[in-house]
Amino acid sequence: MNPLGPLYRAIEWMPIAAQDAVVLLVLLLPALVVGGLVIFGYRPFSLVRAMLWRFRWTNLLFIGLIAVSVGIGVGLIAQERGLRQGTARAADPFDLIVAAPGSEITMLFAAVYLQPSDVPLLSGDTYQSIATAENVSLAAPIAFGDSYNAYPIVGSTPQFVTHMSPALVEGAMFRGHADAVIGSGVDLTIGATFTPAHGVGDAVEHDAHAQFKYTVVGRMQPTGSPWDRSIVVPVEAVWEVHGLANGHAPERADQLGPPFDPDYFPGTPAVLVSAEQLYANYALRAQFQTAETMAFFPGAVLASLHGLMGDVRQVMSVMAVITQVLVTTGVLVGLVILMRLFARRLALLRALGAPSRFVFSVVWSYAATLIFIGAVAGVGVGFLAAAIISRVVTAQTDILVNATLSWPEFHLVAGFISLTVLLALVPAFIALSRPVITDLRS
Amino acid sequence: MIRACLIVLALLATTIMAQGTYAHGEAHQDHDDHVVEADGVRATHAWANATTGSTALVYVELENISESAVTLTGAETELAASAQLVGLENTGGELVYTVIPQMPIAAGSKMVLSPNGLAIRLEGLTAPLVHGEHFHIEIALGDVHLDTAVEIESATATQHSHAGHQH
Repeated sequence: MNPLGPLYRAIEWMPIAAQDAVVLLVLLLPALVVGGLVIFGYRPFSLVRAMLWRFRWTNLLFIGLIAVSVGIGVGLIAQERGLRQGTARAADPFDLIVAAPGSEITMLFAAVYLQPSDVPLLSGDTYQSIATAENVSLAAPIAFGDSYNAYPIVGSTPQFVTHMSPALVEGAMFRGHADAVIGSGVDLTIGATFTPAHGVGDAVEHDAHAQFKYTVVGRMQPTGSPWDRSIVVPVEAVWEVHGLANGHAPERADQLGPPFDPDYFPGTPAVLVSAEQLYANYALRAQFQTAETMAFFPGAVLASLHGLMGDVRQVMSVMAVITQVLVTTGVLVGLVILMRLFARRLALLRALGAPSRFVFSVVWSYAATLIFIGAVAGVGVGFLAAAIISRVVTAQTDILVNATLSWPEFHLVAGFISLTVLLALVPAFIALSRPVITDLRS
Repeated sequence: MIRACLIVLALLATTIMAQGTYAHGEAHQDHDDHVVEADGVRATHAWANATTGSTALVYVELENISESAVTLTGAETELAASAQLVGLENTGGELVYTVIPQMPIAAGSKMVLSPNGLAIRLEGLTAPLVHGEHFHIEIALGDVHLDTAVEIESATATQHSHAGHQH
């Protein structure tokens, strides 16, 4: 349960940005109230400035520790959100997937994120019933299994290419069975030829289709998904390469794309189905949720997975705050030790008549300043960490991740500041409890 | 420290699960009206998650056992200012619920409203939805109106606690 839930519900009539700003202020409120009470009636800042300068290198080290701890914590949490958005964005073109009954997650990974699996095929009759169903505007077979230099080769239709990339950045749509349109990240040029390998990964058979060559004729726009590293070819070619019928009767053997002849349709692992209206997609899902077919929305499967990640996010947030508080506690313990170096000067202040509360406010303000500067610097480190981790994740997964800090991370930092400035009262109390006479003689 | 935290988390989880199981056991002794049927349309296992917020999603299994298509057009309940049919949609990487004005249900077919799919969204709730209690909702399918009880499951439930039972 989100502890901020009741607060959000109380202010849900406000615009979203205003709600977040109010929550930020509420989280900072303990720090502001404690600060106001501690320094009320005094001006400790010139002394604090002098203390910061006197031990500037030690202070920089403390600030650096807090900044790195805060920055990495919020950077990682922002990454989780970026990954969620990136995976959903990658699945955006895939309205409805129809496949043989099995695991939705396995098929999601195979059809959307191009992690091929050995799955049963849908027959020509099944494809025909999907393609001719009411309200279907696109029914594109997705036939995977071959590759070239680790780029997956996917057989589909010109309509599918247009669905993924409404315009090509260079070249043209495939017109012949041996033409190929490549993703934006494929290291091939227009006009290049290549021989497909059978399979994907370490166990590919390079010579299995040695007699066949594809020619690159076009390049798709970037999609921010693993499809940027894919090679899309006519599904007819995929079937022909494997010695199967090509989806059309012999007298129409040169045809590309639908309609396919069910009698000459060798089968496809999945079909991307799209309808113009949302209700129609749901109606189609209900229609093809049968004993012979499985229909699912990639977005719905992702939402379920994100639901699980939501719990992980909460645990991550708790662990991040615990880590940050532990680091800050370490820094405060360091400050207590540092106070021993200041002890004689603070005792002198008190011997000259400075009120105990003034000395208390000096020590607390000094610690709070270190925490505040460290936390603010941590936000900067967080932006940097999020950007670096995003690049690494994008390179590793081919899913474009654009993580950046947002209100939830700022709330986390605000909560951290409030919690730790309360902890900063401890070294202030300890400094105050030291014996003046002993410190003056030390 | 981490071990101590994990132990505390495990204890908390056990306590929460134990509370959930207890409340769950109590709730369904009181009423057993999980199925309503009128004019060849059947509504089964209507449920919603417990919440103290102002919006909630209601899920239900609808079955058209008649010989003609019916259209789900909306719902009404005294507990909320409005009730609309919505469907989860992926729009540019944002998974959002979009209003669906009407949803046809073909003759002899079933339409399941479930989490991360179709749902009836209640807005402007006038009272919190308390786990173990229930409220009534009137589902409009053209001229057919089904008045069914909505079980309030736990805030984290993902299905009706009688899901899978035949009624």
